[in-house]
Amino acid sequence: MLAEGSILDHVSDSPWPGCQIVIAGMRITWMSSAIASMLLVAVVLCVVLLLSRRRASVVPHGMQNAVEAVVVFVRDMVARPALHSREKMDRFLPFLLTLFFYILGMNLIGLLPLNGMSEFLFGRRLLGVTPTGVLTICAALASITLVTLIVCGCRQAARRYHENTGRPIALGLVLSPWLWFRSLSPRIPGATGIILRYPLAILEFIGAIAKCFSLMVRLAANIASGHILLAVIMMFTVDAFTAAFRDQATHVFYVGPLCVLFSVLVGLLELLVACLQAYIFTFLTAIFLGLYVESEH
Amino acid sequence: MSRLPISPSKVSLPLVFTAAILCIPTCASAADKSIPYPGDLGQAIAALLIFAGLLFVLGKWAWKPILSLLHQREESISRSLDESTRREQEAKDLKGLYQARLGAVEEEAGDIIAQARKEADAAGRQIINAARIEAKKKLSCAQREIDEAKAEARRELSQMTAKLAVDIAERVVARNLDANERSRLIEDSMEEIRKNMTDAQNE
Repeated sequence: MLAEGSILDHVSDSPWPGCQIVIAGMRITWMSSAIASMLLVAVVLCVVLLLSRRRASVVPHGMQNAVEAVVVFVRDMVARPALHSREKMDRFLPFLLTLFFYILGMNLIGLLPLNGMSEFLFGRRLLGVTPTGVLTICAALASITLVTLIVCGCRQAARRYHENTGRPIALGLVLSPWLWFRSLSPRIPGATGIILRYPLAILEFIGAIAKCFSLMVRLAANIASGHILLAVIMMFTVDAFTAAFRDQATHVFYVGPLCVLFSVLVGLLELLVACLQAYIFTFLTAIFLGLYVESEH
Repeated sequence: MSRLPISPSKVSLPLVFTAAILCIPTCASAADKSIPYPGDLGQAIAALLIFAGLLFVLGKWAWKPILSLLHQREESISRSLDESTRREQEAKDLKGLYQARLGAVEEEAGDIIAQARKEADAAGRQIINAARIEAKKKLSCAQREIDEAKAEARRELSQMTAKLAVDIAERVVARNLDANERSRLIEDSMEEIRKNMTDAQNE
């Protein structure tokens, strides 16, 4: 299985048969292994979190302990240091928690052997591809961050405009993109400030887009590279066994155990990377929200 | 001041559509057939829709109760800590008060014991003095009685001796005695004197 085709096939998504349409020359998949994995993650998250909430008590026990540990981690280690104010933290915490659990779930589902199981049972990879290893899904996640920070930044700018000038909030909302764009530039006194205001605002805006782009690339590259490395190591084992049967080569006796050991170690590393990338994505999103929504720099 | 609340249900759909539009360039560039299939707009839209659905469901039914429970617990712990600090302070104050009272009571007890000891010493000395006086009194009384008894005994003895001497003389005068009778008479007389003396002593 591993030896067939490109090694990248192992980490790429496979659409379900007949689940693709072409609109204006653009291919659109409405059901694939990655989409099925995402749906599974969503269902598991809903069941686990709603169940833990249903049995919640002031003194935590069972699953509530685990869920609350992660929630407290996101609140104290991600939202609080990045968002500074209590009001902002309360506002964005549900968004950050959902993002963290969603990405973590998508990263972890790729570590389960669902891919091979579905291929064994149905002859196709219907489920189990790591969604965060798919570039367009990471682009969607990064877009969520970008849209959130622009929308919330504009709302904040409109609110500030309304508070400072006393003019209607509707006018503030209409002008909010322009107000937010202007507020991106740092305040420099004198003629230099006037000259540099808009170039700096443009640079800041490009910086915001670049930061979200880096979020996409970082997540996709880290998750895909781990899977590719794991696949390469496991392919060594398969190749060694194939050579042993075909050419009576003896190197399988030392290559095989080494590859198994390394694949276990890389599997553990992947587990760490899955948690780490979820944390990094959420933390950077929180930092960008703190940076661009407050607009005090 | 007008509020601009960000509720998951209000932001979910606009967010999805805007993000989907932003994903189009990535999806278009990823549509190249020469590399392994990297996904398309369908996956991006699915990811956004699922995220929006999760944000709506979890934001409404999971995060709100969980966060409020956490907040409630933290407040309860904070209240308990404040309460325990207050109680500790109260206990310290109470301990100080009791220690002060205990000191006062110990001091009072010491005073009472010292006073009692003093009084007991005085009473003891008084009793001893009284006993000594009484003993002296009894001793002098006994001495006087002894002296009186001694004088009485002497008086009686002298009277008895005189009487006896008179009786002996009468007997000697009334009879002519040989040597044996004389000695027997003397012996009898002596015996009688001894007996009288013994009787007198017994009395």
